[in-house]
Amino acid sequence: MEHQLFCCEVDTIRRAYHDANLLNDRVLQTMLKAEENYLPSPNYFKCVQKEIVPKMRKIVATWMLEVCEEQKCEEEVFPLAMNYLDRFLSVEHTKKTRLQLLGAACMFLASKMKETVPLTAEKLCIYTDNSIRPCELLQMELLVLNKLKWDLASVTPHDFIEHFLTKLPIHQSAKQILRKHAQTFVALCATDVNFIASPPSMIAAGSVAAAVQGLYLKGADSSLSSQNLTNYLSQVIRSDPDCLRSCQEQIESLLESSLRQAQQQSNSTESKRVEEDVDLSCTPTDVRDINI
Amino acid sequence: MCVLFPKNCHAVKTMSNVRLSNGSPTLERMDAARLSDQPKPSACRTLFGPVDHEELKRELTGHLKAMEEAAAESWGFDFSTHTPRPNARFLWKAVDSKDLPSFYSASEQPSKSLCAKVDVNGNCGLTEEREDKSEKQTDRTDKRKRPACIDSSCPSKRSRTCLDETPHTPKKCSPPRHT
Repeated sequence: MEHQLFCCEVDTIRRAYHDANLLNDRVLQTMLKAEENYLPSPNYFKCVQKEIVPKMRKIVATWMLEVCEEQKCEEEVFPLAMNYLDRFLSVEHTKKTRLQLLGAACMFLASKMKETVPLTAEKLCIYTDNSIRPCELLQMELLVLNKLKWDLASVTPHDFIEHFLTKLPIHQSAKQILRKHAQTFVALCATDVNFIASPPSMIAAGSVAAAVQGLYLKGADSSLSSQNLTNYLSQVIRSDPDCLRSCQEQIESLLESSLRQAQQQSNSTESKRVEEDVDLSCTPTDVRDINI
Repeated sequence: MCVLFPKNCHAVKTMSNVRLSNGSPTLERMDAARLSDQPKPSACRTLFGPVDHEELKRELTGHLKAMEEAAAESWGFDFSTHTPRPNARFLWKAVDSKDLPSFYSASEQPSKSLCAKVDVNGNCGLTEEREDKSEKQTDRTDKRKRPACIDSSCPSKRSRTCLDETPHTPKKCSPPRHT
């Protein structure tokens, strides 16, 4: 027994197993109701903010995603932090120079909500190139909490993805890759201003649908055909199929444009990035499988 | 309308190469990196120019003051001096901290070294071990907190215990005791 103890002593975290009992319709319906309470105001750039424009949200979001990835945060942390950020900006006029501090505070909170070992204030400050101090981050955290009325239990698209996956007739092995793609789409949506007003269930459904299409998944029957899937998912989230279809198309075009951007970037930057890319393409990701 | 993932896309790949296993979805995300690695310089950057710390301090203090005032107003209690306000909606009464659940007086933050220990040992698969640890932990915080509360005139503790006596709140909002 003690021997075992030594063997397992690695720096991984303990996490709870997924509770299959929570993947039922009652929970789903409750989530659909609850998500309404956590939607930011769709037009805060016009109504609340004077200095902050959509482009700046993109900049801070990209940075936040980078930090979350580098720190290997749980997938949910980034979209949750963006939800806090949008909700804060919906109610509080904020200066441009405070936006990074706000982003850091939101990651700080989201990480505490979702992770066993949360990000530290010190580390987050390092990521701002020490332009903010830990004590400022703590005060900002309090301010954010106050403006969000201490209600941090936002429903995120991730909460819905699991529900959708259990409903689809897909083999377990395909589900993993599907989940991963859908989560990638969700993160992408969180960086984009056009999805601020979309409810998490819509983003999740659009992401799952886009992932199924992108992966060319085929069910035993025709239930996974584009149209059937959209119709089905829109019923599940009690939305209009056309709405969901347009959301899915928006997600797909967002992916295309960010791929194009990333390509241009990697073309313009020098060998260092290229090396990194080569490195990455050696890792056993799904990328090639999809490129059939 | 199919979506392709080209090989040489950095952004998407970093996003999509993170999670493969199903049973323990994020185990591989949470390796030693969090604890040891220094952040990559490329991600450490100032986004919107230098920050004027004096100005920021003034702003934040102003905000926190306003929050405090709002809380004092709604609770009829001055949290900075720890006294009830006159003509408040609530009747405030001091309560002995011994009569309250311990979490009202426990410290919220265990020390860092303790955190790290629990985390490392938390992986060895022995729940008893962990419970033991957490018990020790609360013990320790209790020891640290209680004397402080008794021998000094520690008013902040008092104000917390006072909060227990706010029976007529119709709303379900949590008491803004941090403000």
